[in-house]
Amino acid sequence: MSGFMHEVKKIMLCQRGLFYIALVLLFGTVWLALSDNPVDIAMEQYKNEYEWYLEKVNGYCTEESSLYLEQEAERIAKAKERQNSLLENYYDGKISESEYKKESREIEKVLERQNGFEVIYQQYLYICENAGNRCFLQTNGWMGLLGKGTLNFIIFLGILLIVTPVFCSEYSCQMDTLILTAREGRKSALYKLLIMIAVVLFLSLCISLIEYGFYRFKYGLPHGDYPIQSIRYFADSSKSMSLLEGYVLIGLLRMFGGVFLTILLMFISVLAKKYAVTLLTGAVSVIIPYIGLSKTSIYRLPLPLPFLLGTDFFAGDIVMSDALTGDEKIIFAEVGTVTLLTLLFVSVLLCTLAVVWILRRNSNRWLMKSGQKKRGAAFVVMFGLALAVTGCAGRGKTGSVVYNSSAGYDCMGYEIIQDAGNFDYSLKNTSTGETYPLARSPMFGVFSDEEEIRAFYVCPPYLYYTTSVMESYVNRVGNYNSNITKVSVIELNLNTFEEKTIFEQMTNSGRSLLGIDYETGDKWKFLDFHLAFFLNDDNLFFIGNDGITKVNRHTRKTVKPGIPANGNISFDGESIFYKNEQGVLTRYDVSSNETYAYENIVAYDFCMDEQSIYYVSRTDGGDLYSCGKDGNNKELISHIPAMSVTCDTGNIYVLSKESGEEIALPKSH
Amino acid sequence: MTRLIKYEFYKLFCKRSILVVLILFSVVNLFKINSEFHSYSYLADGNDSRSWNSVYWQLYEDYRGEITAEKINHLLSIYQPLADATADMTASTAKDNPDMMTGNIYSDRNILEKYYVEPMEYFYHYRTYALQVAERAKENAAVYKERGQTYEARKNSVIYHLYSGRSIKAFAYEEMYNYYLNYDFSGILVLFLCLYGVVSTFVCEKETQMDMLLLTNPGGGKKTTFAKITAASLFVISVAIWFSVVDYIGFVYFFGTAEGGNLPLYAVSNFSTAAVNCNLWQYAILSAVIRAVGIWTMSMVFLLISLFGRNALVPFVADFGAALCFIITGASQSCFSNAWLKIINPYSLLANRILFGKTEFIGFAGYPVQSFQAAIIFAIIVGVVSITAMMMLSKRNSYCRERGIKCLDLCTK
Repeated sequence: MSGFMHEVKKIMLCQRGLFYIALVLLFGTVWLALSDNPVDIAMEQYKNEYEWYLEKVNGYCTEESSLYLEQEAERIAKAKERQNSLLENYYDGKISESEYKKESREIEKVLERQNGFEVIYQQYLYICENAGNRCFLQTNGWMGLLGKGTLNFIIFLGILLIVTPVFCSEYSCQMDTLILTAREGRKSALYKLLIMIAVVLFLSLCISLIEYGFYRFKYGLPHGDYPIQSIRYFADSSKSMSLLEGYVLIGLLRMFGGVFLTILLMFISVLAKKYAVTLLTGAVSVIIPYIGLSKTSIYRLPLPLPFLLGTDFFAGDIVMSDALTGDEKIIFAEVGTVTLLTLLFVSVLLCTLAVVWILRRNSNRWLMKSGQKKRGAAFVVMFGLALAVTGCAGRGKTGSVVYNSSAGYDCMGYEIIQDAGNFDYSLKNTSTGETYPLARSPMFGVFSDEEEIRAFYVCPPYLYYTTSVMESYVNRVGNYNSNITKVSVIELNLNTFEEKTIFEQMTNSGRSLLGIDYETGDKWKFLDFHLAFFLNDDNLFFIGNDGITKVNRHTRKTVKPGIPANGNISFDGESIFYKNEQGVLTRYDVSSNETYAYENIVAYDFCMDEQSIYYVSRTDGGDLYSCGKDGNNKELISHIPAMSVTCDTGNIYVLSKESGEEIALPKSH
Repeated sequence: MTRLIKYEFYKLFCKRSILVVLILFSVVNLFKINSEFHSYSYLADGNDSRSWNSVYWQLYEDYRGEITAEKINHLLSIYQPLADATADMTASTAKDNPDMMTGNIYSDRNILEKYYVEPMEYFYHYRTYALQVAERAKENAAVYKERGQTYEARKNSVIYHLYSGRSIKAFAYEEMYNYYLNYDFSGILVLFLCLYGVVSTFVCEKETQMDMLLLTNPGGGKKTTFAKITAASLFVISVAIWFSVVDYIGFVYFFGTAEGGNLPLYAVSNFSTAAVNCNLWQYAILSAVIRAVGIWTMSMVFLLISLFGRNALVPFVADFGAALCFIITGASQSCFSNAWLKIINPYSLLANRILFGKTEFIGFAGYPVQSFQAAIIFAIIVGVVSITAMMMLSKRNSYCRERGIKCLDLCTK
């Protein structure tokens, strides 16, 4: 067996190199799959509708595509308007059913892809800012692949584990001097270097290919030939390259970063001959500049870190204005091609010097000319590297209760009231008249106006409410900002007044951790705009202007079941009842995700209790009816034309169309 | 034993490499503190007579000390006309207006608003806010007592006692303390240095197979293990205290003042619901001690992990990975209300504003325990358990005893 193969065997088997490589690839893949979220949720959710439009405007924004999108926007706006009047006319008996159906089919055709249109229109607005180098394309895949400027900790730790023992293991048992006496001993260091560089290149290549495969499979990576500025992360980049070129170049830079780190580790291990020093230097050379320096500074240092990150070498300037003074401040200054090449040249030079020194240190001693010179060379390399391094709740079972978003709350003898002066919510005991602050923490909302109660849901004996809290610690544009917005769901036991937080989530899409900025996507943005909510044992349902979002309480997976929020929404613990776009009462089963429309119930408004649904019929001139939850046993309750209906335990309340007054009707009616 | 500890301390930690790293990290830390000042403070704009820095300190003499109605009225008499004149954003943007302190009307309004009006308003109103909290807590305690909720009643009673009487009587410059209390970078440096120092404690002897030889010595085995643990504890506590001192001196030096040390902790608006009633300088000392406890706990866990390694490689990477996990989870979970997550993560003790910035409790046998107290107790328990585990897992010097081999020391005696 040749010396080379002996080294391979030693590194891969004795020092568990193969095991660590497999571990890095495994953890890297698992972490990628677990941590990934689409950057543009809507683009993913309405993928088919979006792609339908994308087919029509794909590529650069031409005059035709611009005209098409503007016309489509107008067509959709008109169709929405027409749909409303058509419904009114139909339910008022001004047009026949066949006419209505014929026209509504046409309108539906226009509106069937309106969600996708909204996504592409947003993209159109972005492209219009600089139509010369931005194209229409499905961006989630490319954003995931290229738009993450964070360090891959798994590959970093993997390199530390694999590279450090290569020389250190020899030094720890003083094999280094013995190796030099062997026939191929002098080549040992060269073999080690070559094997390690090959291993790190292989690891980096594999990770890059795994990422490519993952994003290609999950979102698709179409049109790699489009300019890199087509995705927002590179919006203002002055570099002219395609997305695929960007991917290849970032991949190559990351590979070089891995090799640079490898050579740095080997250099330190030969110099210090100690595991601990080598590991510390390797870790510090990456982590300290990562958390201690601004991104602009990081990308100008001849260190492994900027190359390991890679992405921002191709990003453009980021400029923001100071909130207090209004002055413009450069958050990130683009790395020019000359700077990049200079940095690359200096880094390659440092690597070469380190490699030469490593090889000389591992040559037979009698080949060395002078100890002084050797130390001098080592000092030069070390000084260069040193300069670079220093870089001058557990839940109870939820009971069953019928929820109506438009109705009041039956809070076990309490009434929720809001103070007109300070807008604080209180619980008023209806029998004794005593009031208690709703938020049980005495500190809540006292010191900050950014702490507020947003919505309620009652399921006796619990009252649930959501709070929105904004905190800001140190904050100035261009620096590490610790702004946090979080939404919590709190469970208040109305018997004992015990409080428990059952759900909490930060909603910021751009976050900062120890000075490292990162993006989490807009997955939780909807929480900032929720108006009401309800829940069962498995899910939370947040009602916002754009519909309902279902959040799994165990997995935190979010789903938009396509339920519009254009009227009352009821929930009986198993199904959500709502009016669809045509005003038809519809039921959505939350466990099976199936939808059933009550074709015979077209309502202006409705509400429900445990047994019945009460609705103001749109087809019968606003009469109030009741029916069972299955839509059968229809009964007329009132002839008074009504606009809306709500109910509580004893009464039904209708808002009279003619007088505008609220009329209470007993349920036994 | 003292001699053994001293010997282990010199052997393990009085090394050139550690000294170099200590000096290097201290210098890096000072650079970072300097950059904090220039990045965040609007007063880092030089000493020109019209700079914010000069204007601020000129005005400071008029407003420092006890907050009185005259001072407030005087401040408002300067600020209000500026606020009115700039309200519709149509005032002149000239930067050389001789009537203005900084040369520009917007700039004058901004400096007064940020550095005088807002803090003075907060200081002035704090007493009312605290009183409101105390009253609410008192009411809550009564309500919970009525409903038989002993724990909640006790908790609110503690809140009542904590907040009643809170007030900020004097005005002082508190910006330096705000950034000092939010500064985490040195914690990471301390962690790295301690990791480096501690990871070699056991493995350096294993690498040279001295561990076997030590077992033949009467002072070897468990005595040596204990001496190593004590030496490592002394080292990490010294490092943590050193960096806390460097932090404080660095902030005072670069911000150019130690003013505000006598203000209560809650005078920093991020600490409005602070868990303790102490002054800022007292908190600086408390923070240094708590940070040392956190570092000690993490180091004991690192030491325990390193006991299983034959060389520094796997323990270092495992400890480094564990430290990263603690830091990332600790920093990302710090804003959430689940106090247990903060208590069990030693990172909370390193960046201890997470614990002291909010009044949070956990229940223990029906009694409320503040999260910082629980975190300290938990950290000490983890540290002691780690030490016990190390003592139990370390080899006894049975070889020496069983065969009756007397060591050279013993013979000479």
